[in-house]
Amino acid sequence: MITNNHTLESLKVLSFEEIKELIEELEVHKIELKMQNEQLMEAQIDLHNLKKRYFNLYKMAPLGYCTITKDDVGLIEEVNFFASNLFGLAHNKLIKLPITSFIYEEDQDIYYLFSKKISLHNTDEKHICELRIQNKNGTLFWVRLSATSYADNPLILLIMTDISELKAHEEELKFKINTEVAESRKKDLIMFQQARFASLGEMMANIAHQWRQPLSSLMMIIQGFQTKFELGKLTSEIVAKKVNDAIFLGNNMSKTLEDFQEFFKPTRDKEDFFLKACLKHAFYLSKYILDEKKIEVYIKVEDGVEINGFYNELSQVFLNIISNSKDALSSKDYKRVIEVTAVKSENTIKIDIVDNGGGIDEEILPHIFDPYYTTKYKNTGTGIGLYMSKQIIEKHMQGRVTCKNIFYNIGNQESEHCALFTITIPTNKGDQNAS
Amino acid sequence: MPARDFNILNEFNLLYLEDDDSLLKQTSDVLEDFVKNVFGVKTSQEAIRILENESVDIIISDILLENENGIDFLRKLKQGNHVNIPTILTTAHTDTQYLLDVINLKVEKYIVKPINLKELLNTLHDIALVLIQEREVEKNSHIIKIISAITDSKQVEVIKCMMNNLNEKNELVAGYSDIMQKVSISKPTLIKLFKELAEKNILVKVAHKTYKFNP
Repeated sequence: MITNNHTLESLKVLSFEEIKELIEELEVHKIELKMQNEQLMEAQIDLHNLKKRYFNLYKMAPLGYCTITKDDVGLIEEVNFFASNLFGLAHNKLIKLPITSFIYEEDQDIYYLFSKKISLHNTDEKHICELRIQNKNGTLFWVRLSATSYADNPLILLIMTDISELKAHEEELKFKINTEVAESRKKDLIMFQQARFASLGEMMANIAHQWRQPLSSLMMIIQGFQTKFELGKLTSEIVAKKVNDAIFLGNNMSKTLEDFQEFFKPTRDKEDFFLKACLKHAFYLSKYILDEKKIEVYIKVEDGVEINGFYNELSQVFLNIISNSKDALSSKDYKRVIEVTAVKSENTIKIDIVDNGGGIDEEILPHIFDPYYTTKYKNTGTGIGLYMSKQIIEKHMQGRVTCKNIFYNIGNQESEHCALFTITIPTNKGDQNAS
Repeated sequence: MPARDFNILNEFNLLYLEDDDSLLKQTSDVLEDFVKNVFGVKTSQEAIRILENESVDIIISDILLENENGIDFLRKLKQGNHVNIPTILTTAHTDTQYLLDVINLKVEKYIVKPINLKELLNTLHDIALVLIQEREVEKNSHIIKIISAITDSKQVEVIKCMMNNLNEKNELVAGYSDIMQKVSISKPTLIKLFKELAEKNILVKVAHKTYKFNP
């Protein structure tokens, strides 16, 4: 240790004192070295602990760590327990195996693109992908791969998270959503059916009313034959006349049936039709009930206003609104009126249907288009009519239907509380030209 | 039930309210064969005009008329104008509300459409029969009035008194003095009357103070 020239030279002439001094100095050095040694030992222990911590962190982490080479195949350089468990092979058997051999064949493309992305963007970026790992036992796992690569490092650190449970939940959720959607579609269909049945019921009542009188006449003619015969008054002229009358009545009855049948024909394609004709048809089908309740109808719509859509569905909407107005009006003992106006602007047709039935209760108003919401007795209303009307206008005709209370002069000289239904239908000029 | 004789209908006038043209015509065509006149109208205004100008015996009315109600019309007629003509109502409705109103108006019959002609004719016949009987009674009371005017009114009074006191076996149980207490008539006149009736076999003595009446 003592290589100092000065020390060697001076050794020859060293006095006892000097030697003693030197020995002391050596002692000090020795102690210092010992201390340094101890420090080193401590540092080594620290290092060991750190290594242990790193080992714990890397090897025992509840995440898969896997270091692979930066190329297409991705040879495994280092792997932790979690990852080797995922792969289903012991740690030492995994080293130098390509990671692609564990990727489910359907997801190989995902990994290919993923590795391309990493090599292309060779910065300190993080890349993430989700794919399935098929381990040596054939079991599939969903994992999220998160890759960190550095420009100056030929290795990539992959963090693998087992997301099989997450994926399972996701799938379950997707399935649930799909079934719910299908279910609600089915419900909508059923409601549509119910709404149609409800109007069918009303139509049946209408047909019955329109048939009753001619049926009475027909039966009177038939019974008349008998009495005329018994009285000896049945001449061939009378027979001819009565048969003519009967045929006329029968034809009218058959025409009534056809008018109503038209309404129940299944919806075909969208077609162009005149709004006024559709309105008049709807009011004609409700004629008996409107007459019975002595409700006057004013249709203030220009002849040429055309609509492209489903004729029957729109007439059903009108029927529903008329029926609603009729219910509101039937308890009133002043002049009952329903007024329909239509305004055509550049892109839309706005149809206003007003009745002087006193308006709608402010508490009911926000719910008026809700399904199964009815203020009527159970046997008269199904609560679907207005809901279906909204569906038809919004979903099938891309329009809007709203309802509010207004103070309006409907033709009785004075303003009254009225309910106003507004239907706005886009005319879709552009679409029509395109098609 | 004996077969009805519909011939009795042919002296009656019918007012028929029905707002359906066809049914009005067809039903009138049939009824015209049975009655004297059918006045077919569509509104209550026309009906009132007919009632003012013609003698109507029976009314047939539909409940639902154009812009009005047949029941309201009848109520006005029966309660307002005190016209009491037997009425048949026809209707397509079976509403109990209508039924209650109809019962309170005391109509003769409520016929639900389509009209069963036999039912209608039977009803008309039964109404006519009552009308004929009423007229017969009225006619007889007129006859009695006239007879009593041209003959000895005292005798008519005695006969009336006898008729009123007949028992369930059509017997008069009374002495001369009993009758004389009720009718101021001399005994010889009374005895003479009894004798006359006995000779004509109208009043036969069956026991003391008991006379059998043979009309």
